[in-house]
Amino acid sequence: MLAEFGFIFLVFAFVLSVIHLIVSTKVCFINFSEINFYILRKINFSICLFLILSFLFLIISYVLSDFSVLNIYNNSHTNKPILYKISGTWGNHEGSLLMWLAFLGVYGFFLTLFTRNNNKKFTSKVFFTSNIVNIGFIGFTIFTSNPFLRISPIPDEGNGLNPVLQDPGLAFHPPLLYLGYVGLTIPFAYSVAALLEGKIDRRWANEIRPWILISWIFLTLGITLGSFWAYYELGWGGWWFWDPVENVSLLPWLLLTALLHSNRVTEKRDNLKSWTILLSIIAFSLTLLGTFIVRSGLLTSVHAFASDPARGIYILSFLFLITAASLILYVIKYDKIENDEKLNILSKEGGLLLNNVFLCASTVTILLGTLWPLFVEVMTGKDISVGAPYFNLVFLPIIMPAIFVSGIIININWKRNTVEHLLKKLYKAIIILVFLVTIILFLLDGPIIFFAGIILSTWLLISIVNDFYEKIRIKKSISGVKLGKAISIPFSTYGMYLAHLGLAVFILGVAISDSKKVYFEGVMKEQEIVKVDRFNIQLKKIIEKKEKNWISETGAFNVVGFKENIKMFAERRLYLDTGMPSTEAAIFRNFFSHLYIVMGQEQPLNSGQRIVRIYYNPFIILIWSGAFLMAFGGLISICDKKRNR
Amino acid sequence: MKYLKLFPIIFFFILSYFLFWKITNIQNTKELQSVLLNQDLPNLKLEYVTGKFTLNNLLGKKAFIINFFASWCAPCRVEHAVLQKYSKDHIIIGVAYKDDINSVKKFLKDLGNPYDILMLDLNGRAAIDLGLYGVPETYFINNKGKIKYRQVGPLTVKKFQNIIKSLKVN
Repeated sequence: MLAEFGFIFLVFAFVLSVIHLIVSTKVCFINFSEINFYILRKINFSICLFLILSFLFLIISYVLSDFSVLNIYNNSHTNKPILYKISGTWGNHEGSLLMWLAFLGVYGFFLTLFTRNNNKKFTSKVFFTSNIVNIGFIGFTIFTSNPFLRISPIPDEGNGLNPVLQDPGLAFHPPLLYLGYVGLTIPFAYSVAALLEGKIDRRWANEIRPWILISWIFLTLGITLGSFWAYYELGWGGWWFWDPVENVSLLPWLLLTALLHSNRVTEKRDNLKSWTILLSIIAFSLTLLGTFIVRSGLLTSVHAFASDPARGIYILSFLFLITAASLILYVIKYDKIENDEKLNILSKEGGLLLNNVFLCASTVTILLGTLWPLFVEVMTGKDISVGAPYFNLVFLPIIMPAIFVSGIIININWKRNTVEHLLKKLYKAIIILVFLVTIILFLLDGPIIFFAGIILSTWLLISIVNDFYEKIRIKKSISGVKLGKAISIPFSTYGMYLAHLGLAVFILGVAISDSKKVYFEGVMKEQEIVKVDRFNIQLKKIIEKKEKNWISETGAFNVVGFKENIKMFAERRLYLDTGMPSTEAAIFRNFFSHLYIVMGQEQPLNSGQRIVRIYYNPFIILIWSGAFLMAFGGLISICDKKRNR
Repeated sequence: MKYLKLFPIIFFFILSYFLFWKITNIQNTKELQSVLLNQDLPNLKLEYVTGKFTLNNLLGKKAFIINFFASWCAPCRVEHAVLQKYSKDHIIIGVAYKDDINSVKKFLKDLGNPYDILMLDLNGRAAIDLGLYGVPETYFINNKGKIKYRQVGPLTVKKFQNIIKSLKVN
């Protein structure tokens, strides 16, 4: 019965959205009345409730292992631990779409709640837009991907979940990522509403700021967790592969980061208005594009768990209609919303604009690289793939200046500045930077990229400290500081400091781990020893184990080189029912560094030799810790009650 | 600078063109992929379970359909109804892929038996010869013993009719 209820709720939500569309069209474009506005709010709450309930009912059906539901039969099994029964709900296309809807519901609920006292005419336009997104997604779920389909006769046992997905990382990676994606609906709705209204002001920018931050935090966490999961579960030894699906999650993140900064200019200086609007429209479209690419199997990728061209057509048409409509609206209303106030490049807003240009340029290069195989195929019919070398080559030179500039922007004032003034503020920081860099150059050795990374992260760190120092410095004194002043610095500034500190830590992690990593790839026999960096690693023996539904080989490795000798176990499992192998990398953490061992299949057969890959990844943990710090900085910013300074 | 505002929409239209092109072409390529198309059906090593005639009786004389399925495969259950519907008008050979005979018998008892011949491909050897993607997968063989069509994934009533129609035209 649960499944029927779940589906009925979904249908209710759809019908209500259609009613909402009719009422909101009347409210927005024909004649506004307060009563209708309150009706809209009521309908909003009901839609949210039905969407969330529907998802909860699917989760409950999963927990109860109701195999009469096709989706559960395909993706679950009675023997699975409860965590994977629940996470199995979104480990497949239909379920993850329902999760998307539930999140639309959650965001819609808070949107309706928090806009209680806002301008009613404007808010009804926001509801109108977000409801169109609701209709698109609910319709997609009901008509192409119903998760509540039954099968008959009822099977006794389910097919189980892809072993790669049975991991705590998967349990949280998609929900976080989706929370980020779905959150973008609200800045989008606000932007379209502002275009419809033909008016955008500082208040508007202030209202969307928390929504942008929330999506940004979730997206940061989601991508980080995904990267970490791929690192230890897929056994490829790296943390980022420029895989199309990774790219499509990075694209909205980059634009969202740009949006976060440009919105700040709109909020403080009433400038870059049309730019902020354009960014939120495109960032939202990119999330749809991401879903489209994952769901259609358009580009080959590790995420091709669920793909179907028919669904792709639906999402693509939806993406096309909604983006084309908003962009056309943008062209029409452009002159109305943009005040042609000139920006002074030597100011915070000028710097942020410059940074935005860099961020957007890097987004475009990644988008091009990701879709290039597609363009080539359409033009010439050839199959090509664009790999990491392209992305490293084009992405790094664009993003590096952006990071350097952000160090300056942290220190520069709004409005007008002079070069002398700026130098006066920054000269200490520059001296310290030059001093530190010289020392580093003397002491360390490595490729250019390594030094670039170290210089950039040092610069960011120094500029944060410098700005903080300038803020607590007693004016007209040479070096006196008053710590009491630190309290008057707003929370959001501390959040900003922390987020940029996180960025510095992240860059440091990338620079060191990427250029100082040492790896071995080859075959090893039992008792054989290889030397990787300062470690002597011996494959002691291979332990075989047979269970009911899988067989496993575990390589027991002895590692000499740390303070104490350690044992590491790299496991490789073969699941008999699906024939799918899964590897569990052996990872030993030493401070911020990882020793990482993966054992592969026997090669050649019956030789007793195993393919072994060993990586020593120094300071790799900084990558994920930096990203978490960034998200945490965002969280602190969001908690700032005095946002409107 | 005045026309800069048009840039996003133009860029977006160009992008959409490529995406639409690709998505409408994915389906076409999927259906024509087999290199075995218009080739003779390879000699398949299969175990006979039941049947009114043998594969050699049919080959080169009558048109028939080979359907790979398994009792453990969910889409096969869905597809089964379609095969049932057309079992009277067409000769359908069922090949149970990596399955055990008792489960297959139970499967057919529960859902009905549309197959004129039932065979087993226990170790998946025949599947390798044909280059099977997975179950369900269906091959349409004409009366000259040539493979005319390969369907990857479950058949639906609509698909089945379309395939039969297109084969008759040729």
